[in-house]
Amino acid sequence: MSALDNPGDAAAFELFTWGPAYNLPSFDPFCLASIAYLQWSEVRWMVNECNNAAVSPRGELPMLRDGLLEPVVGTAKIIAHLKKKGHDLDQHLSATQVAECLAYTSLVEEKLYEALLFSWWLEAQNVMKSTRPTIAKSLRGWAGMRIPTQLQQKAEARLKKYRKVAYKGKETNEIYVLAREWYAALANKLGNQQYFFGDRPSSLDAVVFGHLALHCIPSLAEPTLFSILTFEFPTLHAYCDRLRTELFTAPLRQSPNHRPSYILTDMLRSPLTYARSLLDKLSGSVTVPAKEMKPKERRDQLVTIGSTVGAIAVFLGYVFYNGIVEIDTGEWQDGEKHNEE
Amino acid sequence: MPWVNPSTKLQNALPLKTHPAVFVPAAWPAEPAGVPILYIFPPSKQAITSVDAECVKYQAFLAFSNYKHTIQECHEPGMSPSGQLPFLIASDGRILTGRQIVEEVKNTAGDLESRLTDVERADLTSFTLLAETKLDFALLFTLWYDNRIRDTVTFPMYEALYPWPLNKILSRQIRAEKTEWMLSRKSVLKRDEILSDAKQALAALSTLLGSQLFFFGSKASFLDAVVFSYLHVILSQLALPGADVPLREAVMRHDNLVQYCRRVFNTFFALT
Repeated sequence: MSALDNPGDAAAFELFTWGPAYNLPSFDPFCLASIAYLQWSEVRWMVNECNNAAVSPRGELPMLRDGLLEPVVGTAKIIAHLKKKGHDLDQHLSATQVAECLAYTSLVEEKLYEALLFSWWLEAQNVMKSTRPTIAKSLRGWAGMRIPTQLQQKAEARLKKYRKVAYKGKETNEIYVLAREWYAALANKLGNQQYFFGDRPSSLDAVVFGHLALHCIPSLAEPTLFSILTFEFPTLHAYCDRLRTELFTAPLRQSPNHRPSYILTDMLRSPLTYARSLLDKLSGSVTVPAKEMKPKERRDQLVTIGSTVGAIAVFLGYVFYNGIVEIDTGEWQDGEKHNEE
Repeated sequence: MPWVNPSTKLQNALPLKTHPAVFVPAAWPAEPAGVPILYIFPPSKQAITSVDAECVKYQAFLAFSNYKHTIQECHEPGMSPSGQLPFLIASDGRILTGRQIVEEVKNTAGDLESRLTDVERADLTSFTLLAETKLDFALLFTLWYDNRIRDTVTFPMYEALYPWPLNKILSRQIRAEKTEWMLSRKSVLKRDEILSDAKQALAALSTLLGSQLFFFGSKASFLDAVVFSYLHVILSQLALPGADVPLREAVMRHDNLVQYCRRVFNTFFALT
């Protein structure tokens, strides 16, 4: 069942992302920023949690597929592409504000991202107890064992230059001191406004939300960034919470192209998810977008699937129980003997 | 008299005899002179600004703040505690790098940014980081991956510091380090992409500057030091006779930035 079978889907954008974690649709801030931008721009789009960077020509996610055009990789490029297509959230900005938007975007994407990487991958407690298990669970299967290590190595290579410094009588890493400065810049810019540039969201809001939403996760083993945000910059924390409820009221629309993986570990780890993805694919029910399905339809569909599975199970049970079909193990032993001779 | 643990007593008695140290290296520099010393990567001939953007940044910042200091040339980044030039030996002998220099200068020579409002300060931080990420990356990429620049500017610059054959090895080692650094930030290095990032950053800075004397009014700030350092290095180092370097062309397109760079240089660094 490809996207082209349904004319409605052919026109829609498809975003390839890393999978959900921490009650957010993705554990990657760049994917999250793209999702936020797409949600605000009110286009028809669907999310494909492919969890596989190899689908993208540059080995990076997020990737946006727009029909048959060449896919667009990276948050900045995705936003630029959507602007070109007429979904521009920055229309109401003046020239100075566009310049500011760019500056704050680079602050968040280049620098605050490093603070997140540090807290996630260089704090031993977090790596062991929080990030690694959570992300492995989100990725499922073989990828879950491989990718967290890669992410950690990348973060280590990137954050080499940060040293330990004394801050308010305590020894702490330089990055947390700097992170406070960066948060302060964002908080001052935001002030008491609803969004960064007035009362309409801009691309900067999407980027800031994508990153900050992952900064304020209280369930980490060492939630340093979370405590800095809540205690020292409560406006930023409130901003994040508000946008989170605003953006994710309804579940995201899943892509019909999301294929179940046939790796054994997937079946073993979460048989339910696996079975559901298989059934979805077989029954073709996925052409009905999840957003538009009513609860009654959903129940009907579950009943149909359930009764079919039940009937097949009863039939197979009957067949084996009555000996209509027998799996003969004797033949196999004969074969073995034959080999020995 | 309180009871004392005998083991503590024994520990306090040790060592029984302390010999004088065999060799104590002299304090270096010889005496913590009253004047702080800034160690920078050597400038090219006939210039007092270093060829390295990071060093020019702090030179400019110290000049803006009227911080009294002398300059010492040094081409060994390993001398600095952070592994990166420049570093400052303060008047009391502390060795400072990066942000510590900024704090030290603010404490002793006065804060250039004290007159700014909170929002302006936030803009200052964000635009500083914009220049430090986008322009820095583009400059680094051009220095090491533009064939003509690499062969005529970068390699000779580093090779002049060491004798043959060490210079060939070390300069390539530096290049490998820089490449590794760049790859830790971007998974794919594409010339057009890096250049278009830099162009956007330049356009944003040009918009912010407008026709003002400095980025935030009539007085210089740390942002001015950062932007001046990159513009100056791009305009002076990447000037090749008879060849267009795309990054330099991109700067030349913004007239106010070029004028600004010239003005700052003439005010603070012109040899009299």
